[in-house]
Amino acid sequence: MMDQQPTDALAGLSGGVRYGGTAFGSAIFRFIKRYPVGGAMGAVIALLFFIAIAAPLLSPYDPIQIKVLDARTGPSSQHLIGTDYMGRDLLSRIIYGARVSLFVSVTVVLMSTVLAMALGVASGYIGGRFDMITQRVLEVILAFPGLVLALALLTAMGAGVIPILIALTVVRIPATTRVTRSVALAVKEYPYVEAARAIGASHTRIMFRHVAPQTVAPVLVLATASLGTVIIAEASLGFLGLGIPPPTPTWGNLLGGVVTATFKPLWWLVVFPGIAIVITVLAFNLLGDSVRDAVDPRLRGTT
Amino acid sequence: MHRYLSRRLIYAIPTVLGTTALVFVAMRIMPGDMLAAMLGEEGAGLLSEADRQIMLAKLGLDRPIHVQFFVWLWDIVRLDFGESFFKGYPNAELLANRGPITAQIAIMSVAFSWVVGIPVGVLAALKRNSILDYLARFSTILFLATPNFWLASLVVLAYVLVFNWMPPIGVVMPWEDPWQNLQITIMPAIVLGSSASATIARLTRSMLLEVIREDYVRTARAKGLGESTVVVVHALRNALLPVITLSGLLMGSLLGGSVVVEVAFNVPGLGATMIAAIRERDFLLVQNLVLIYAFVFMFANLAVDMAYAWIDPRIHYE
Repeated sequence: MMDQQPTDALAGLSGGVRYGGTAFGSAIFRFIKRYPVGGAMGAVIALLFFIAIAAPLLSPYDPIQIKVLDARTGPSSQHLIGTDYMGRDLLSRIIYGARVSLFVSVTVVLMSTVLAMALGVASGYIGGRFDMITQRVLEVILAFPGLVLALALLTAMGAGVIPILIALTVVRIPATTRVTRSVALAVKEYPYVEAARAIGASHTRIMFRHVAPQTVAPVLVLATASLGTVIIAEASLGFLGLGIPPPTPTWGNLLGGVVTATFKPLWWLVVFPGIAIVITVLAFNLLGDSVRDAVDPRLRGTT
Repeated sequence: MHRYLSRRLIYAIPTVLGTTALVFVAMRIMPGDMLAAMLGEEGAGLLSEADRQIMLAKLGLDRPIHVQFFVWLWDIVRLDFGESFFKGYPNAELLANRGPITAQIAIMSVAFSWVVGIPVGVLAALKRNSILDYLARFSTILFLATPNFWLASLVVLAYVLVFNWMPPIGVVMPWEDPWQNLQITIMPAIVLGSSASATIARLTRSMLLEVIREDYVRTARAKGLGESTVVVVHALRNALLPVITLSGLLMGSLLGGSVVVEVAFNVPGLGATMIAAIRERDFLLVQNLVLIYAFVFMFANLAVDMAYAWIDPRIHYE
């Protein structure tokens, strides 16, 4: 991506306290200074979260209330980007849709990352039969195209927020587990782990205190990069009509069946929800690129 | 090579069994029994006990669960996919009807992602930091953030508004009417291949920039070869190895994406069939279709690994 890169690997994230304030604050400050694109995208994402949280205050209309008399009106001063077939204000529906997209993607990435860290560290560190069995199970999950597996799981569990969270989490676990497992495999041979064992630290303590922290950097990169992917996956399920059931407005639901199910599709119903998705995913992806460059310049340009 | 292939196939057996088991279990962890899920609680409640038994027997659900699993496995091995519960015709016929168009779109989209992705990546690497490079990188980033179903919706919208287009009604095989077949498949293939081509362009560019710094490329230049010969003949060959690996990895999102794109374009392929089956709660058909997707994906990955060993003589699988 960006070609002018710093040489010191962790400069962007692990800054000292030279800039004043807390170490964390100055790390953020240095990150923004070195990666202006990433910083700007972070601001865009913060704004999106603000919009999602403040949806009731910001949206001009109720996103669910049907007003037949206002149906199918194009962009106007009353409805900035028009209304749908039931007279619901599209802008309000998109604003409320941000809640679902952001909530699902952050929750899925958090859950799958925590589970994959536990699983990967345990299976890499413990090894043996436990490792063998977890690897075979993960291979089975990886044998499915992600979306098809999510569809199968959703068919089994029925529609709803919880099934969506579970289905997308399951799909995302294997890739992260592979990363954490390979880190754990390498780290457990390091002298400092040996030293910890020599002074009598328990295996649990070594896994938590000495191995798991080493996986944080690669996992952080993977997690940031996945946020956008999960948003697209959730929207795809909504588009197929198998996501969070209506009347909840989600970006995928808004686009589902609009073009093929109607004789003359209304262009604003197609164009605007998609723009919302693209902006959000773009922001997450670009932030992910900057985080990757900051954490490990060697990974630059590999994805 | 043969030994590697046979070993890979043997290693695949547990995965294949696990895959079938996962699909089978997933279709049976639903709350309540399967008849209620298929017909709805009310519909199932209206059945008399005798009718219930007849329907369960027809679906093979009256047998113990492990017997059901092995009967299903044996059916798959014999390529017997049962019959559609609601429509009554054999699923094998349905799959034979719908399969080719899905395969065609998938292959065309892979071809598209290579034909567009590689030249764009090469050009961007050659004219590094030029306007062309920035343009290529900008569109790469944009396409990676664009969901394929939205792109598909935009294309359909343009079709409808500009050309008064109607969604295709039936399947037209390429050997029946190539022109009409192309009309149905070309846009889905391009939309499906767009994000893959963006990923491939990105990787081609960065791999090429890395390979160009190698000694043997400098040697090629030093002996007076033209820049394009150096890049296309010498550098690109090595830069493309990771691109092949990437194509295998992309197969997963491509197969999943084909489901969405088929629905978006109303193409009557396997993916659209699967979504319809999920909506109609035709669980046995869903079960078979999910398994088919998994098998195709596993086979594609195997093929990529073999291709990799074939292209790069340095790789020996022993």
